[in-house]
Amino acid sequence: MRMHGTFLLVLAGAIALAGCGSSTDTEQTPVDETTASDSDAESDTADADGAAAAPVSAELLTIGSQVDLATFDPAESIQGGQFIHYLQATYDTLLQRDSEGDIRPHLAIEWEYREDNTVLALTLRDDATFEDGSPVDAEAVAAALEHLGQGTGGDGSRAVSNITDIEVVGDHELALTLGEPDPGLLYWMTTYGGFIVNPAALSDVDALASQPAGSGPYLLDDDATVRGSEYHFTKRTDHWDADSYPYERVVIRPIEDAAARLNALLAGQIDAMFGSSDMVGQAEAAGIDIDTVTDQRVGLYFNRLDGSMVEEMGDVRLRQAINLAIDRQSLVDNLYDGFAQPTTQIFNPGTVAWQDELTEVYAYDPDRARELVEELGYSVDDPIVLPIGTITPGLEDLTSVTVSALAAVGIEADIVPVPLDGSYVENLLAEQTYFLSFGTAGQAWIDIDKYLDPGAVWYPSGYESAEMTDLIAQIRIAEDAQAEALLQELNTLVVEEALFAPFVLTENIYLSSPEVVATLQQGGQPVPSLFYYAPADPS
Amino acid sequence: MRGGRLRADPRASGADRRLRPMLLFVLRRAASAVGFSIAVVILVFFLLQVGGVDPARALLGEDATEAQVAQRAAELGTDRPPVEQFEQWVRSLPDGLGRSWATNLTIVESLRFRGPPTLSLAVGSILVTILVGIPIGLVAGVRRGLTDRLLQILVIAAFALPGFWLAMVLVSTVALNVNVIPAIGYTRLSSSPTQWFLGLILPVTALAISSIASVAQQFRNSVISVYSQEFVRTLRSRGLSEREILFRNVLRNASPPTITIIALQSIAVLGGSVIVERVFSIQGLGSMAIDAVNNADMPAMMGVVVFSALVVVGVTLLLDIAYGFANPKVRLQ
Repeated sequence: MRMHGTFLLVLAGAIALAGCGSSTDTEQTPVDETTASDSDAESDTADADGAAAAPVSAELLTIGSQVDLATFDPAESIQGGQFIHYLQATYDTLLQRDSEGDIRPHLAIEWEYREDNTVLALTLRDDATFEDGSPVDAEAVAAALEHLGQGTGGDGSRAVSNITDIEVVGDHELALTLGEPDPGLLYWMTTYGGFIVNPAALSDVDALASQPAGSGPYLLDDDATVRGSEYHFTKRTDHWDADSYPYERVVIRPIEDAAARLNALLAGQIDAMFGSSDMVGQAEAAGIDIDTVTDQRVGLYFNRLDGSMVEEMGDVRLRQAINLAIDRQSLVDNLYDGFAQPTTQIFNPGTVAWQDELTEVYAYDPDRARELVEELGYSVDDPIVLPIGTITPGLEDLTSVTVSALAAVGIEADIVPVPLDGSYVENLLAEQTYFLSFGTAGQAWIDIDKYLDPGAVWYPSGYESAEMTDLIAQIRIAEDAQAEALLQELNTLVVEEALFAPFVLTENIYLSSPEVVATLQQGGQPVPSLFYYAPADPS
Repeated sequence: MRGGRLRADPRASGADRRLRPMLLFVLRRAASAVGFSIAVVILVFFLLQVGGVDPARALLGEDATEAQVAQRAAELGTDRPPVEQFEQWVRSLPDGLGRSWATNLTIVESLRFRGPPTLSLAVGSILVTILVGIPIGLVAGVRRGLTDRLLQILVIAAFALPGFWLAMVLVSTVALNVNVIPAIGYTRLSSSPTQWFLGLILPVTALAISSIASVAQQFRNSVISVYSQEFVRTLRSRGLSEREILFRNVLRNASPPTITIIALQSIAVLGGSVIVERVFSIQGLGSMAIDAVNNADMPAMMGVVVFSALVVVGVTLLLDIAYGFANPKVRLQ
């Protein structure tokens, strides 16, 4: 009897404790304190020309991030759109990209290429200040760009590596001399190559890793921030572009597990997050807003096209057969739930290099693929063996479908599992072919730089083409009007030569609560920029 | 002077005789614990070296060139022989146990952020285990019959529940329907005791279920075993009430094995927290370990190893000392 009573007492105590907590803390229900004004709160918070939209305000925006902050030092930041919110909160970029992917002014209000695109002249605005009140002038920007260039391995440092000299022309004017014309530089200045650090902070570079020093719209709130768990930012009311940032406070919560992130959104603990197609049904049922943008290119990538590993890989017919063997539309329908589109191109559809008709070049045609393989002396009964590296876990379904498709045309895939660890790049590149998913850039030149420069990590090694080298050299110095035709010519060459076997372009899926309008931008960034979050119109 | 007094005081001399073996026992155990910790740390360091993962590549990302990777490797010292790297790591220990390659924070700073969530989970789940597991075991052991069989079924079911699955079910069934209970995250106790408590309810439950089952089962068996011994019959024959027998004799004799199980569970909870922290997005030591492995962040990995080794060795040491006090035979061994 006594024991029974003790047990009940313990149970009752636990319940009472829980009940006590829940009854006294309703004011801490983790939902937004959004207090949108009645002004126009359409999706964009800033016009395409950079002018601020009608100001709206709200108290708090909480973003669920897929990644934890690596560093607040732009010179050491590895690009990944997921990381960008941390830096966009605390740093201004020289330029910005709007929702169409077009470049617009920010710290730099004018820019001009001179001397055959080897000098970039920048004019800065004169009302921007760092958090300590010092001006963001030409001297400061010059020091910040030099600091970026001194980084080791970060995308910011790679982005400015082509700048050989920085001349301060006036208080707010400077000229950057380039080693060679760089069509990607303006794009990089909207992102990791454009974050400007306060020169006063450069005396203690190590401290920058945890303590940002920029001119951005928010200040890191050290007291409220819990490293690895939640990063709190409070708005700078004296920021020159404060109207473009409607939230008084921004909290970024790194939640690496996708299911946990979705639960947090459904429970109202966060307002917006990077999602995936398997979340769409649940999100729709819960009234969550869903936005998509084409980004990730998934497919097979080739190495050693000189035939040093599998001799026939040097023959375009084998590469074409691989492309023809894949039923891309079936992949879209069955593996990606429709949140993808077939592609044979390495470029983003939002760029001028993209051509719809090129996707038809490798329309699913297993008969033609078999013919090409037979021309090489192999058949379904006597297949050619092709080593394929595949990241594991993660791409099992795609790997399985591809193995079947290739087997049907006389290519036996020798699958080599590659764990996603610190050496996966080297392990993938050790294989003849490999699966991978890459984000496509908002500017064609960025993809040329990453995949078609013979020095690039993902270049189809062993391939040599004077025609391609010449085209790239022309694109490097071309004016916009000429560049479009040249880019399309290059794209056609890459597809016809089957230097890659892209299968599909998947859509990034971004989920946000109905109280928040989050607008994705075209190309190269899986999450909206911080200036593209706004409270929804309450009406 | 003091020695003279002790020699002069026969009672003090008796206490000294009793304490000295215990003190020697504790010192022996402590020395062995320190030696064990150092051995574990050295072993783990060199095992990490044969992992084949290139930390420089992991840190710089997939687009970094070979030259950049080589430069970062030289900066980190990962291009040097393992013994030199170990020496470099040991030299970095005075600076907050070294700095994380991924975050540049000292390991002590990281542990300051990451430790409290995991310790809250561990302490909370052990408390819940004791408060729930022991009463269940006691009731089952004393009542037997149908109550025992029902509780046995529940205990087996609890054993069978995978912690991560339970965690996900708790989130989807409780957190998404009860607004005051958060689905993810950890609130610092100093920020809001209420939110801290509410945030721990689900992860602690997920962590504690299997421990409760384990402790309940162990305690039930101990109680039944003690009840079956002859001295209990003797006590009954001398007219002691069932309550007196239970509280004065049975519980005292049934407790030591359960204390061992609870101590071992407190170590197991550290391992279990890796999964539970992931599901509830709690940035504790478990997630620190996962991040460190993903980034090939050797200083952070070693920080977690050192911390875990200290906890395991500390708990084991306390357990040994407790047994030493309780059982003189252990001291003599």
